[in-house]
Amino acid sequence: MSTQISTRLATNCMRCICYSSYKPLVLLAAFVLLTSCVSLPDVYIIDHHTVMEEEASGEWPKLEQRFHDLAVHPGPVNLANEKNSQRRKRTFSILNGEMTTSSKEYSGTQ
Amino acid sequence: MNKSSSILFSLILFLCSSFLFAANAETTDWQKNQLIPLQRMTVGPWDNFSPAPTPSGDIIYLTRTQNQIPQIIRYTVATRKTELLIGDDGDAKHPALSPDGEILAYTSFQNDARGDICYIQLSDNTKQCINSFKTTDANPFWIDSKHIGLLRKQPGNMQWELLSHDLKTNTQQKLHSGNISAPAASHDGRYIIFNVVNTSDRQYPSWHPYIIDLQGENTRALPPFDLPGIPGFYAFSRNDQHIYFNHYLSDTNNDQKIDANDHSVAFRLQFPILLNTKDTSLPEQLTSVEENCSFPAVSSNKLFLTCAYQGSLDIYQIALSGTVPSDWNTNQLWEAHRIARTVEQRQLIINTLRFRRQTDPEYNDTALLERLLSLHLQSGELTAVSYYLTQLQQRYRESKNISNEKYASFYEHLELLTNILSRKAQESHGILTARFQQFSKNVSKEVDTIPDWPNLKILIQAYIDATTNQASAALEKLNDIPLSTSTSLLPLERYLTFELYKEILSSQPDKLLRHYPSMFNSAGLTSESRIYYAFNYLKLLASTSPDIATRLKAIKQQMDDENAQPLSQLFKTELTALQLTRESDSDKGKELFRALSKTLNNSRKNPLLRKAMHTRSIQILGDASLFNYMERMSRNWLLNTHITEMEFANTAKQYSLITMDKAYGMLADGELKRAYSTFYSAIRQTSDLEAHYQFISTGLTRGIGLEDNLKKSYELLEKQNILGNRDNYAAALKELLSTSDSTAKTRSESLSVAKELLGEPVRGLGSAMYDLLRGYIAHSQLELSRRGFSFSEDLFQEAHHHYIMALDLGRDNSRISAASWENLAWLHFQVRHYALSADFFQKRLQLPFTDLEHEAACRLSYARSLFYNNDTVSAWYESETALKLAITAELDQLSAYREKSAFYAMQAKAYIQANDHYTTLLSMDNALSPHNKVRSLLAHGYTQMKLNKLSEARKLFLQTIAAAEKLKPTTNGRLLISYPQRQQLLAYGLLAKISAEETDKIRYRTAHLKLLRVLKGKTQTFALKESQRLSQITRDLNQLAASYESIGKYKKMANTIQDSVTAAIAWKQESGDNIGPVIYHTLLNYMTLAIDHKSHFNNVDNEQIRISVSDLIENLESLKETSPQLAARAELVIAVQKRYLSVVNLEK
Repeated sequence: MSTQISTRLATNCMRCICYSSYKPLVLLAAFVLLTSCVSLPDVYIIDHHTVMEEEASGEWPKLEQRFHDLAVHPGPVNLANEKNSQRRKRTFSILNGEMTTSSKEYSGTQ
Repeated sequence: MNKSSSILFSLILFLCSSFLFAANAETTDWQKNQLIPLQRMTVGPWDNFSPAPTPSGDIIYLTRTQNQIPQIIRYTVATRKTELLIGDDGDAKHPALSPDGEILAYTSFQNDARGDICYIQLSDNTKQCINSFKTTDANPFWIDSKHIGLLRKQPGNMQWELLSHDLKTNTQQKLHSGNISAPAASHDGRYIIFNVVNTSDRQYPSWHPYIIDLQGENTRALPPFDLPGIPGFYAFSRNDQHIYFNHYLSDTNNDQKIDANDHSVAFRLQFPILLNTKDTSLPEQLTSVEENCSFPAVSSNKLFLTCAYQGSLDIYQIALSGTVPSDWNTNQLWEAHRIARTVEQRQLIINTLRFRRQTDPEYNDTALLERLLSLHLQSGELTAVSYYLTQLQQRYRESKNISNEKYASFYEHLELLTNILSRKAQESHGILTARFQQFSKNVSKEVDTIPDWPNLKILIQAYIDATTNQASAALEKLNDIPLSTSTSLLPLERYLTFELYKEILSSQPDKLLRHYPSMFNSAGLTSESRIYYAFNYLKLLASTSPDIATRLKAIKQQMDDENAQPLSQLFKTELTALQLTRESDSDKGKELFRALSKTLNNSRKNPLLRKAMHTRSIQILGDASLFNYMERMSRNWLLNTHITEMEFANTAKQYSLITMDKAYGMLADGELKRAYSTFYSAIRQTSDLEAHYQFISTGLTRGIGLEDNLKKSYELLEKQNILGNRDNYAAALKELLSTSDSTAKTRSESLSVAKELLGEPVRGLGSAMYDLLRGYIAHSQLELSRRGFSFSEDLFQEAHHHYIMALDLGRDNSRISAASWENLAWLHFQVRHYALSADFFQKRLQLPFTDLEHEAACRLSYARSLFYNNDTVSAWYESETALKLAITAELDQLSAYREKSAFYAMQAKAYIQANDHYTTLLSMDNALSPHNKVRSLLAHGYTQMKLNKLSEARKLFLQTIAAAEKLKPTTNGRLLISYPQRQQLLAYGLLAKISAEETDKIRYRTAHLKLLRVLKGKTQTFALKESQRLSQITRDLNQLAASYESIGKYKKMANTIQDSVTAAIAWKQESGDNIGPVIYHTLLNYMTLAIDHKSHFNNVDNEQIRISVSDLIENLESLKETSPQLAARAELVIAVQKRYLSVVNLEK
């Protein structure tokens, strides 16, 4: 290994600065040893979400308040109708009678 | 009549009717005159199951599965507080409380993935486990205070051992072995009941209850329960008089077998009877199949169950006697049967009738069995059908009567049909296998040998044809069955014949329509079935013949048939209602309406006909948009239903539905006063809390002057005793809505007052509204008390609990569900539960919206939750939909929607779309605030950079820097202060990255570095850590050194890399990381550059470098055994250090 490094240093190949806090170490070591060059890390816009929103996403506080006012309510959403709701189907459902051999109607005295 | 007089008329009418109900209400509480609903105790989204209550039921230990991790929770019923008892150090489940309540046994997975039985002393939380290395241990239960029962499986063995573990001697006694499940012991410690699975038929394993008497006889099988399906888990009542169990009654998932994947039902049985009988025993059904409840657990006066609703398991409680009131007599049970709205409710009632009347000499069990058979046929549960067919054959054969033997033969042969249908259901859809064809042929041959029942023979052959894809042949055979002429067809034959017609002619409704009269005109069917078929005939006629004249003609034809006499009122209703819809003359319309009302009033004494007639007329008038008439029909139905009838609750619900729909329609049309008056009528008739909410919120709407009227109306309601326990809700709501736009302090006080006023839960119609309001109050209190990211966990739990309760109680109410889902989505977003928030938004979006703006807002909020949950692509899609809606609705803040779409597109790497949006946005004047413009310029530049348009990107980054220069920091109401330097910092970094010329790189990197240096001591306000700042400074300096080297400025290079070492050492001290990449690479770089350019360094071999490199080597070497990577690093640094030292020493 020392021969390799000596050779690399001797050939003055090491023109790039080694610096990457993001690359896996194995890759890094191999990269340094074999090529003597490590590329710079990308500058990430994607960071922690709140930080990122601070940087590149617009702020619309009035709109946000409007969204909140539209959404969070102590009562139901004022939908004009709920025609196909389950409770409507259930409330207006008509069941078939049961099929017995005697076809007897039910009553309290059965 | 003008609008005002119409309202007045309505009010007078309501007042009159209300007096009538007020008088009756003194004798009957119609809200309670129905099946008792299960009361929910825990709330999702996590699964809560396997409850273990204390004897008093005030504390429940339960399993909660959170993120797939089971833990044991202690739940205090009075406060609804939950606390983690076991599970922070490993998975744990299935708690079992000792008889003295001092020790909790449970299955632990902490030290053994197969499971150990452990127990905890509740007084001091000390834990112990039963030593069971390598075995699988499960299902702990208490035999007595000194013995824990458990199931154990040895490695490689498929059989379970049922053991009794002695806590004192720490020894175990084997009680039984086999394919055992669900053991439970009686409280006197004498009996253990469990299931043994018989797997001899692999496809259809069967479960059998077994019992061990620890004081006497050996283990023995108990007679099976008189139920289809398989038993589940057991629990003894506190006095050992009852055994409670859940049972998988029917094949609810339609896989043609009943197993633990099907819906479960709770039952109980008197234990002494079970113990002593040699015959099958009939248990008492406690819950309906719909409720899907299992894991029974019993306190002294409550039954606790685990029920599945909306995808999560939760604990519910109910009286020990279940959902059917124990004081209902036979008449009341039949009434409940008649008014039931689902087949599952009817199964519950018939089973209850069977159970309660089994000692009645007049009791005819066979007739009830036939009803159960019929109900299971209706719901397509063929496994249960098969069970009842066998039962009926036995019952009819036992009676040894010729006529009954005939019926036994009928049911025996009917089983051939169910066999065919079961086998067909197991086949892949649309594929006819050779095996099934062969099976069909065999059955067909068997059918030919049926001695009696010629029509049944034809019917089964027709079914065989239908299941083997020969619809025409099936139809031909069906036509041979004299459906319209025969009086000898059994009702069940008639039913099955028509069902097959329905299936075959599903795409030819005109043809199917022709067969309905054979059903509703058949004297062989019950009046209920005849009404059912006539009702469905009218429905189908309406859908196949929208033309009213055609329908009128068809109905008249039916009325002319003398067989249709019992249904003449229903047809007459249909006829008059249809005539009313096409009557343009107002007076004639009124006349028709009076005639219609008169016909309907005649149905008062026949509840089934009354329901069908009112439902049809409401449907017809609604379809014709005659909402006033429709609402009056609905009220007519309510008035024709006596308050003492169980049906009154259903009629009140329908009235509430119709009236509320009408009132909501008025709200949507901006007719606030009319809506206000309509909500008032709903309050007077039904006391629906939803009507209260809308009445109050509309009454308090500014500018319509209804405040005085609202006050007087409530005084009147109070005076007339109509309010009942609704007054608390009304008072709390009025308090809250009248201060909605007040200051934070007043608002906070108002919320506390409202909470106090609201008091205890209100149950009955619209009870979900109570929980929605309670959730909202806690939610609002949480919002007001939130500081940064910290919030009150108690308020969060309270809000979440009540919102979920509102969902549960208002399960089929779209308006309440929509509000609950949306509130939950916001609540969870605010406490940074982004995945759950997104899930709740997604559920909200499945329901409609009042307007496009609301939908756009909801979609964009959903997009934000998705984005925070790292689902950037879905976030972008949703934001695009929101933008389209905003464009359609021409919303004011369109730029905001576009900016969000651009941002989410960029995050989703959809750079082309992001670029389009940013280009549009930045080309518009005043679309963006100065701060937002800086952000958009930066993001646009980044987008261009990603599209490899570097020249454009450079311009945009420079514009970002220039625009940010003019701005001051702002809070904008956000959590973090917005510093324009942040965008500058990024813009400089990106400029350095994309610059081709080293001089440019140096310029931008230097500016970047300068800004970073300015940030010293301010990192928190920039949402940066000091270690991050130092890391970035070190990186900049390294890169600058490289740039200086490449342009031959070696002196600057040497100074810069020296500075980077200083910065890296500061980073090391700040971060406490001795070997991290910052210090490691900087030192390597320093030595490398020093080797090459030693002459340009002022003090190339200084103390700082020597110490730092030695430290680095020492630290790497000390850790090299732990990682080959670190060993390689150490080796590399040593090698470079050697070379470096040799060079600098040579220099010396």
